[in-house]
Amino acid sequence: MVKISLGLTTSTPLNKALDLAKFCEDNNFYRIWIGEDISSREIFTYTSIISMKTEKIRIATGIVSIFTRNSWQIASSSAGIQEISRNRFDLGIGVGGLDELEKLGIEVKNPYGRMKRYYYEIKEYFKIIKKPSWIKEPKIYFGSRGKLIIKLANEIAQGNIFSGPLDYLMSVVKGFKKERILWNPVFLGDKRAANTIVATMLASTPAEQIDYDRKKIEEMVKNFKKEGYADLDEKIIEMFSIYAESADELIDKIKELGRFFDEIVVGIPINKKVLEACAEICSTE
Amino acid sequence: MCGDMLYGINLNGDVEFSKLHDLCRIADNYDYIFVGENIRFKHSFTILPFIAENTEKARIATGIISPLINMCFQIKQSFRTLLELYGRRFSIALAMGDVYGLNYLGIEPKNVIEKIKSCVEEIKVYKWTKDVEIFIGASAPKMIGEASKIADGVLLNYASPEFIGWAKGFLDRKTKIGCYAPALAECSDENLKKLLYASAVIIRGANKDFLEEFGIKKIADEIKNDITKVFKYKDFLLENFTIGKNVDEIVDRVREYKKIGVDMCIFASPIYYSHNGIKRLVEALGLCS
Repeated sequence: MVKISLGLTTSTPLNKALDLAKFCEDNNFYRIWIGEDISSREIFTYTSIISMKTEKIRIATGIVSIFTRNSWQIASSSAGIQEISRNRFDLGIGVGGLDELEKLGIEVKNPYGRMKRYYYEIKEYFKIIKKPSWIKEPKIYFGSRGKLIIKLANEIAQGNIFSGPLDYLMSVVKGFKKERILWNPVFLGDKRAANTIVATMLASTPAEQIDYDRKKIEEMVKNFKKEGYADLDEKIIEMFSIYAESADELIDKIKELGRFFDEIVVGIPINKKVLEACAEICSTE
Repeated sequence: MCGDMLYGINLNGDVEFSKLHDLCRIADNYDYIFVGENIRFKHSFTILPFIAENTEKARIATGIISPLINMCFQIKQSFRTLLELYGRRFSIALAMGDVYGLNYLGIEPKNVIEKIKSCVEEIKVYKWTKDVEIFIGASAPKMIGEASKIADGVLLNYASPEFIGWAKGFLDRKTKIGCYAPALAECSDENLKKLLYASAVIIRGANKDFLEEFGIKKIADEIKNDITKVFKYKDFLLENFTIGKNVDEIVDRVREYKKIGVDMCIFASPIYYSHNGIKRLVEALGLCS
């Protein structure tokens, strides 16, 4: 039985995020994942507000960058949100957007070692934070595309948030025993949005993860960077997103993906029709 | 604002949210609510929205937050997030932070003045920050001087009027002066112990020039080496490093502050452990409700 969750990023204006959160809570979505847009709103402040204004839906960061905070900040913020949400909070950590980190002058060195260290340090710091005894330690998820960190997630984390080309992800999740969360964009008949967003993903995905003619990919990325728009072929769009022309088709595709993933995150760009179709799945599953 | 002095109350991340809800109602009678930072407490980024949601009038501030522990762009973004939902009633107080906390996190307190200055500059660049007051918590002469040049106010964690008078001599520019020190409005044995420990945090982290000026370096060293020495120096600490241990003492002290030109008085931990105490203080100070 696949779980359906909402995916927000901190660049979503708060009032809009709160409306969406309410819709998803009322329609039995499983969780709200909040991705950190490093150049936008502060993720723990943002997540605290969403937690405060919801009652039963699970809330998670997905992900918060381990390169812009020390592990104490993550642990002490998690303790606060866990209390506000009354144990509905899960913590997703990851490297973060490389372009944004570079803009801040942050060098990404040894992400594997840092993820492992942070995982244990967060747990240790969490213990020393003064909090009521009913507060549970948040489950820690990783958000990674790289095989090494995914292997680490399989060993120590609660699960991993996967995103990227589906055929690559299918091969990676085969041996993955923890929670498998898929967060790829979902489109219902909006080819133009699909083209733009998938082209952005294409530009930041290592070529070896894409089973497609490399020259064509390079050309598409080059055009996208130059024009801000790319005319991608269907195979590429299918590879990076859940694309359907009708609500029924979308529901079938999501259910089919439920054979490989435990949870599907429906995120930016948020389309009301997509959410309504997902609400139908939540009401029947 | 009511009267010729601004009053603030400090609430920290060790309070359970269920209790914080009631505290917010009382604290809303003060001009400011300052949320502190301590490595054993929940992070202030999660406390600030809760206070904003549960108050209407008071200005809400970090107090203090360290740019050595938190990246400045995140401090800025946190306030931007709060402003979006709760409007223009926020202030930011920056300072180095407790030396022991920094040590615990493996952070060396280096280039502190430069880091705080650059953080203030980074925050002030944006239009939306024009209504966000920026305070700097300072105790060292150089920091006091620099802070007065760039901040909307300097928060001193000295409680004795004599110490405050000394610190004021280092201001480079006329700016708001705040006294931010431990206080108790209703005393109990347990809270008195907390008050003594809070005063110990200040003296053990105090600046060398200050300790030498007042000939109290030996006391500070003794307390640094053995925290239980706070009991040996109980009266000295209560007199000089706290605003007062009951409502009457606080009211008397506030009168002295007014005489020496203090603009803000912020009652710091452990004041908030007694709801009744802070309620009585609201009445005693004649705060507008």
